[in-house]
Amino acid sequence: MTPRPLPRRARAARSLGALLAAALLSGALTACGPVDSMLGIRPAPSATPAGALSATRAAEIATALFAKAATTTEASKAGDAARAQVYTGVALTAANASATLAKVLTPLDLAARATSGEPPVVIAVSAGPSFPRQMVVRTTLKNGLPVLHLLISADVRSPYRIAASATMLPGASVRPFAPLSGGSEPVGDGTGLSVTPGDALSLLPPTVVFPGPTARDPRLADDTWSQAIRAAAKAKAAALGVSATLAEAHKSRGALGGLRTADGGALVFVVLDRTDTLVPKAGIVLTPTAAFTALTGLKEIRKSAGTATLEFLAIEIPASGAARVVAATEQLYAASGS
Amino acid sequence: MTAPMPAPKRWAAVLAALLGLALTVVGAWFAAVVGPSGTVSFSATSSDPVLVPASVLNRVAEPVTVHVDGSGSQPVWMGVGADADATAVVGSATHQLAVGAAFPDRQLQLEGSGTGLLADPRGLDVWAATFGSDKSATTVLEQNAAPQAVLVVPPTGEAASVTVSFSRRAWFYQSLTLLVVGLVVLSFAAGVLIAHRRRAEQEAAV
Repeated sequence: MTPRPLPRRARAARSLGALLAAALLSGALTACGPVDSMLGIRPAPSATPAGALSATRAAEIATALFAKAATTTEASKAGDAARAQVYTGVALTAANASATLAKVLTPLDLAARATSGEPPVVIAVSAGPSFPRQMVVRTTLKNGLPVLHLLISADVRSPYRIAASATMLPGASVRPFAPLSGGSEPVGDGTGLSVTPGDALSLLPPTVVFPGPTARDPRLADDTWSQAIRAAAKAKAAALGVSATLAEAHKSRGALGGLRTADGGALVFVVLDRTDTLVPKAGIVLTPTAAFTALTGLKEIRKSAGTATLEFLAIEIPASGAARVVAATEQLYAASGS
Repeated sequence: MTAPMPAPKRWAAVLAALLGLALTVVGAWFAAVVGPSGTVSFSATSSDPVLVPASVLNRVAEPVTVHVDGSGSQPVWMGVGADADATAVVGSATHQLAVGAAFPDRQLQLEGSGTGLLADPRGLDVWAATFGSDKSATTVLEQNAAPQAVLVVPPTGEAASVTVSFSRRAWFYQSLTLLVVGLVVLSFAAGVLIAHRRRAEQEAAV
């Protein structure tokens, strides 16, 4: 049986009904949420997993900071104030001491510290919006050695400051970090690392104590910095001979920060405080170094002398295996004697 | 002899005609407002700092343009940064928070909050971009950096206008679609009514 075609008016009425239904549906949609999606309006994203800074902005900040650092070498109160805008924490202590002692540096010392003038390279930024935010930056000395710097912004109103600087040890390398666009996770409590930053730091002093015996935990690999510290202490003691005794102690000043590398390890910046104590034998008068005199005003040592030196170290801690010091820089900052 | 159109059907045709007319007018008006580029702008003026948060800026997939204009002779400062950072910079200082964008008024809706002067936000490292050397400034925010916020600080004693423009070409085509659908509904309903009237007139003449 063939269905009977509807009369023209009935067909028209049916079509009109369909159109009306469509129109009413549209009206219903515009009254609630679906209209947003129809218009391409969406909720704002709530958080970003990316790096706290874009690569461009990070480079701008680092370049400006290191340009400022290059101009804050004056040994004065004004210089101290200017350095407070560039350095933070123990790095500020070291920078102020460096300015004070600049006048007694030998040409060799000055040559070793001279920077290449190349712009700083940001190699890692911390991921996510939380503070403190960190940045690892590399500069290069005139002698070709790279220097690693840890920059920290403590809170939203605190600009990035240099918290630590350490010159790469000859032959050392740092594992790559995640791309700047994604950022690198902060080290945190060291979960997932072969040794926590705090433990790695506590393993360091026994390896460089003088006079010995030294002890090395297998979780910490030997490195050229430890060897140089031990050799320097031995050489100093040998130079003093029987006229004085020398003792060196290293005390932890804490882990300053660090970021995870792409392979699950981490680069951690720590600082040790080395105390050198020199006691002349009875009746012996020693002539101190120019740096000691610059800090104390003393031109001879009769009873004892003590110096304090900050040792900034960058330690690479893998996910498995031994941690290793990859960069180190020291700065004498205090002295006393009689 | 043709039977007269039942009253419910006649009323349906009238309603459809009215609906078609409404859709046509709305579609034409909206198309005229957004233009072929599909741009809608919302403005507000304030002498207090204005914070335009991600809940306003990051609602579409397309880039959003923010333009500021100072009313006096001093430059207006504008900073673009992460939403949480900008909010933290403003803290509890006096400011106007953009809470929405009203259409068709095309007003950026501001809500005053906080007390005390805003500490100088210039020079902070949290800003992805800053503008502060001219009386007016414009920035285009890409959505891949969301959630973002813009902080506008007018010079002391002067006001600044803030305009946020959303461009989405699809809005123009959606307006045209509305216009065409309205015209189709209107034509159809009108056709039905006119045809019935003619038939009625012809039958009356016979």
